[in-house]
Formats: sequence, structure tokens, C-alpha cells
Amino acid sequence: MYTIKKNELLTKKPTIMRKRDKQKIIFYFLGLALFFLSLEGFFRIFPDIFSNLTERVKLKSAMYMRRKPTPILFYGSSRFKDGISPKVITKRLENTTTQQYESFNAAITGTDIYRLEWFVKRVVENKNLKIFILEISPPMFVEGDHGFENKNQDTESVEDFLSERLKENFSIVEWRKSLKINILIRSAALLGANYFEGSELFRRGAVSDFFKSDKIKMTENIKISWTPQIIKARTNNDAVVSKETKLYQDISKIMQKNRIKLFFVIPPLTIKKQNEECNKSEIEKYKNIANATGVNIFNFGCLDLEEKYFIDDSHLSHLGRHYFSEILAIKIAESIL
Amino acid sequence: MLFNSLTFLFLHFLFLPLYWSTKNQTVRLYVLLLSSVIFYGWYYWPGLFLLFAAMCINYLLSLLISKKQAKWTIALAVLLNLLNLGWFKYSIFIIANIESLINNMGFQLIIPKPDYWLPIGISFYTFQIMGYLIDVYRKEVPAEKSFLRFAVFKSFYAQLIAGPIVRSHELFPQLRKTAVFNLTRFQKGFFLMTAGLAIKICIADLLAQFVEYGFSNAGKIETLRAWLTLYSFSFQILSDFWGYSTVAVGIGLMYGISLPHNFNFPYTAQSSQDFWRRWHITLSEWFRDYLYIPLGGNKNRKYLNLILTMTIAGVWHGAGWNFLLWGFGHGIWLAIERVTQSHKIRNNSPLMRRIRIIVVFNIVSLLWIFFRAPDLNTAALFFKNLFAPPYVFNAPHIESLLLTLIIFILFNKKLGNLFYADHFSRLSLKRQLFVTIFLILFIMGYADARLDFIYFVF
Repeated sequence: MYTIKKNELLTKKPTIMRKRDKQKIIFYFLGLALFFLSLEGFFRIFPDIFSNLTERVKLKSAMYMRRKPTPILFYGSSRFKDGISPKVITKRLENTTTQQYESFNAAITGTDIYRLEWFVKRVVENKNLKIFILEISPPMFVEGDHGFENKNQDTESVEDFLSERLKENFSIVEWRKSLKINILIRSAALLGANYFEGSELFRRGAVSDFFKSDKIKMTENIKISWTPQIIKARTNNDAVVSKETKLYQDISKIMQKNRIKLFFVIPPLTIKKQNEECNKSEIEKYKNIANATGVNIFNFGCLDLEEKYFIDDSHLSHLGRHYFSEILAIKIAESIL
Repeated sequence: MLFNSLTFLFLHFLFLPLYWSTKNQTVRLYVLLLSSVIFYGWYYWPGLFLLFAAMCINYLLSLLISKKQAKWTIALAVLLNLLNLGWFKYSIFIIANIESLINNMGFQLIIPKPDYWLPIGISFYTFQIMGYLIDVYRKEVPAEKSFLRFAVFKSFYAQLIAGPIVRSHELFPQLRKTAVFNLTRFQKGFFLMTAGLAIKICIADLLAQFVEYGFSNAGKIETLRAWLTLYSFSFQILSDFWGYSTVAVGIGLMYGISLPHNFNFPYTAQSSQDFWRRWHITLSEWFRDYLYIPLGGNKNRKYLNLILTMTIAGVWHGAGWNFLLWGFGHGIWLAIERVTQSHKIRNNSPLMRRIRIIVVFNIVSLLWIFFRAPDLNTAALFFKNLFAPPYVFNAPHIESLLLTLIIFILFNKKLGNLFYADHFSRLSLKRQLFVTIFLILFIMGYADARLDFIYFVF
């Protein structure tokens, strides 16, 4: 068993150091200094890489930009991240339209208005983008912070002051989040963007998706239960202009300008969760967005779906994801054809 | 100030060269005192007044005890220290219980509660100083004449807030002699500081998020999640306190001062007695030498002494029935072990050893529920999650928790071995660099969720 002698540090007298030992320790500290200086240099030379690796939305956009032509793009919160299977969508579209339509799921956990705005401005630069499917749900309306672009924040304490000064002067501190273990996975995802569909490495259940999705069949009854309600856009000018409505309006204009077809989708919820999010005031909010943008909204959020399709109140299970993706693919195919 | 804050690191590396820049021991002691005052006052500066008052009174008491060698002097000293601790730590708890008892008897009573703060580290520094006063009374150590040295003994920032509880015979001799800068010790200290911070930041703080969720949703969580939360807390509290103690030992070594290690792979213990010889070693030894043995130790009423000592040790950790029950539980377990003689290992086969380790770890973990739960109701709900149906074993979102636990279990033995003796110094330069760089990168990557040390409030 592992044991230590009692207070051995106290009883042991420091021995006289040999020259070799002294050299070893000096090289130890020099080695540390050299390593971190080199790392600092590396961070300074390639800041974009670390910037993309440390922020989920930047990573997803970088992955999308690196990919082979991918005309269909999804963006949303963790509800979309868990709920969309690009693999199922691509396959379904191929069966329906006899053409290959690559799709990519750029949804991230903890998205917000600011990240959405940032993402849209970046990805429209990709000329291959033809269809953009955007989630609409309360998590998408979160204000969020601007911190992910490393803008200076107010310094209130000595701790904040020191932290800010270190960030300003050392890239290794500024991009220190890229030192986490998951950065290896993120780097792999970025380098192999062509082989990933955006959700595999960031979503639980990825393994079962890989092995099981071909075995799931959708019957007519299931298709009926998954058919979304449609919140139709009425062209009137009395839409209440809230911050989120304005943002979705702007997104719609950007998409129109770039000739990208835009879909709005409210993801499915359990009946329990519908009390919070499928009520009159929320639906009114969605109607406003539809009216202000002129885009119909596919509402899956008020469907009477079984519990087995969910892993919790607002996130789909493997089975739920499959059906949700199939139905979305059918809707996309209808618009293409 | 927290060990895991930038401010601390900045000040530590500012005072360190100041300390070594002079060979005058008095100046060095002033540097240590000044840094300790800043360290303690940073968190809540009025606490310095209490610390200073306790310093002065105990210094005078130690001289009085040394001069008179009378029972009343030590009784007075212990009483004053316990009153100080009792007032700041236990008065609200005691008043609330008296109030509740009287109200339950049908009388209406509202006792005004004092409005004050809990001085951080009060339990640690009170026990350290009480140990010293008792040692002086027992003539085991002479009373320290120099107030400066006494002040540093009481306030040295490496061990002021959460131990280790350093004995006077361990620290005073080191404060008297002028230490010679030793590169090996400095390097070892630097490594221990880094490793301690890594354990705290990368393991304890990560596990804390899962534990917090589990305990704040006690009664609702699934069976599997409840068990994982329980094991997570076992490892969280170990890595939190082990991390703190390791940083403390490291800081000491960087100043050329050796502090005792507080942990010795406690979750490999094969009995309750073995566990307490490996967990928070300096506190266990304190209770053994200053409470258990004076109560009669193994000679008279040993079972009662064990239960009483452990119950008081429980209350030492915090003012609450849950802490009392935690200590009482450990006391009962120790007593049962003595009655059944199960602490004496007869069959030492690898299989039996492993079985004993698993059993002890699980009992320790189950007792931690009282320690972690904010109240007895939550503790009861948590026990229900663990043992009562329905048994649900598909808790979502547990992958990273499992991963963290597995990584820690795999690496804690290897990392822990490096803390003791000369293991680290004996590594090749390449390995030393690899381990240190790995730990520093981890600290930098995961230093986001900076949480207080659990033992900070005791």
C-alpha cells in the first residue's frame, strides 16, 4: 500500500547539492520558460486558429467554411444540435430529389442573439449556401454577452485588472481556453470538417446515431403525428418590433439579398414543457417574427409527441432526432422541387 | 485571498524574492508577517483585528502559562480560545436551537441574534494555538519570547486558513534559524504548488458542478446520478482539500519551511482507523493528542472516548446537526471496529485488501452525505435517491462526469506519489518538465470556474 513516512520533509535535512543536480534544476526552470515562450510565439503567429478553437460558434462557422460545397445549413441552440441529423437529411433528400444535397448542423449549446448575428454575417460569404434553416425558440432570444470576441470588459477588482492586463499582453492567456482537452477533438473536427456533419463530436448519442439510424423506419402514422403546424406570415406592418424580431428581420433581408432560402423552425417539446413555451404570448411572439420577416414558421413545438422521443423536456432522443430530421428533409425537398 | 487567484500568485511571487533577498532572519519574518497580513486581510480586512487580538492575548497567555505552570492558566487559555471560537462559529446555531426548542414547548420566544461574520480559518488557527498553549503547559516546548516569531507562527499564510495544523515544535525551530536557499526545495515547492492547484482547478472544481446539481436536486435525481454524485463528492472533497494542503506545503518549501503533509491516499484505507490516519492527518493527530488521550484514550471508556472525540471533530467542521451526525457516525464506526476487532488486518490477501478498501470507501462516501447536504432533510432525500425505488440507471449528461472521475482515479496515485519524499527530484529532467508543463497547461485551460476551497469556511 502507499504510505509516507511521518513528516519526512521535516526530518530530512537538505543535502548539499551536487553540481549536476543544480544544473538539472536550472535547466528545468529554463526549459519551462522556453516552452511557454515558444507557445506564446505560436499563439501570436496563429491567433485565428486558437480563436476558432476556443469559441463554439467560431468553430462551427470555420468548419462550415472549410467544407466541400454544402448548400443546406442549420443553426440553432442545443435543441437543434441534438435534434438535427444531417446524415438523415442528406439521405432523405437524395431519395426524394435524386440529387446529392450536403447539409451541415452548426447549432451550438448556449447560443444567443449576438452569436447568431455573428454567425449569419460570416456564413453568407459562402457562395454555396442555398438553404438556411434557423431555429426559433426562447434560447435563441437570450441576450448573451459580447465576451466571446474578447472585447474588454469593465475591470472591477484587482483580480479582474490583473486578468485583463495578462490577456492584453500574452496571447497564451488570451487563448488559454484552447489548452483544454476537448481542443484535441475540436482540432480534429476542424481539420476533418469534410467528414463531419457538424454534430457528431459535440452531441451525445453520436455513436448510436452512426450505427442505428439506417434501421429506423417512418410509418404513415408517425409521419402524421410529426407533421408541423405552420405559423403563416401575413404581410402587414403592425408587427411589434422587439429586439429579436428586428434581428430575424435583418437575417431575412441578408438571406434575400444573397438568394438563400430561409426556413424558421420551432423544435419539438414535451407536453410538460409546452405549458411554458407553447402558450399564447410565445405564439404571439413567433407570429410577429413571421409577419415581420414574411417567412412561414414550421412549429413542431406544440405537437402531441410521446416521451420516448425526448431525453429531457426540450432535447430529442436518438429516435426523435431521426423523425424530426426526416420531416424537415421532406419540407426542404418540397421547397426544392 | 484564495490560493487559486491571480492576485495571490502575483503577491506570492512578489514577496518570495523579497524574502530571499536578505539573510537577516528578523527582516525575513517581517516579510512573512506582512505578506500574511495582506493575504488574510484581502478577503475581509476587519478579520485582521480579531486575528491580531487573538495573537496578543495568546502570546501573553503563553508567557503566563510558562511562568506559573498552574492548571488555572491553561484552563483560562483554553476557555478564552473556545469562547472566541464558540461566539463566532456556534452562537447563532446554539441560539436558533434554543429558540426552536422553547417554541416547540409552546412558548413564544425570539432571541436577537448577533450580526457578525464568520472569520475565515478561525477553527484552524484556534486549534493550532491551543495545541501550542497545551504544549507549553506540558513543558514540551518553551514559550516563545519573540512576539514577531509568535505572530508568524500563528499567521503564516501558507497554513493560516485551512491548515495543515502545524505543531509548534515543527514550525518554531524553522522560524528561529536562518534558512539557506536550497534550489531542490524551491523546485519541489514550485512543483507542489503547481500540482496542488491543478488538482483543485482541474478535478475539484469540475466535479463541484455535478455535485452541486445532485445535491440541489436531491429527491429528484435518478439512482445512477445519485451514486455518481456521491462518489464525485468523495473525490471533490479529497482533491479540493488535498490540493489546498499540497499548495500550502509547496508555498512553505519555497520559503525554505517544511510543513507536514495532510493526506496519505485516504481512499486506500482498509479500516476507519486507517482512514483517519490518512485523512486530514494533522487534525486527526491534534484530536488524538489533545482530546482523545486526555479523555482517557484506550485505557478508560475507550468506546465513549472515540465517539465523543469524533462527534466534537464533526462539530469542529461546522455548526450544524449534519456535521454533528457526520462526526458521530464516524465515532460509532470506529467504536464498532474496536469492538469487533475488525481494524486488525488478519487476511492480507490482495482480494481481501481490495474488498476492504471498497467497503471503507463506500462507508466514508455515505457519511459524506451529512457533510455535504445543507441540512438533514436534504441528506434524507439523498439517501432516498440512493436506496429507494424506482431504480433508474440511465441518467443523461453523465459522460463528462464519468470521464473526470476515471481520469482522476487513474492518475491520482501516480501524481500523489510525486508529492512525497524525493519522487519528483528523482525523475529525469524530461519527465519533470513533461509533468510540470502538463499541469500548468491544465491549470491555464481550466481556470475558469474559480470556486472557493471547501475547507476555507471552517
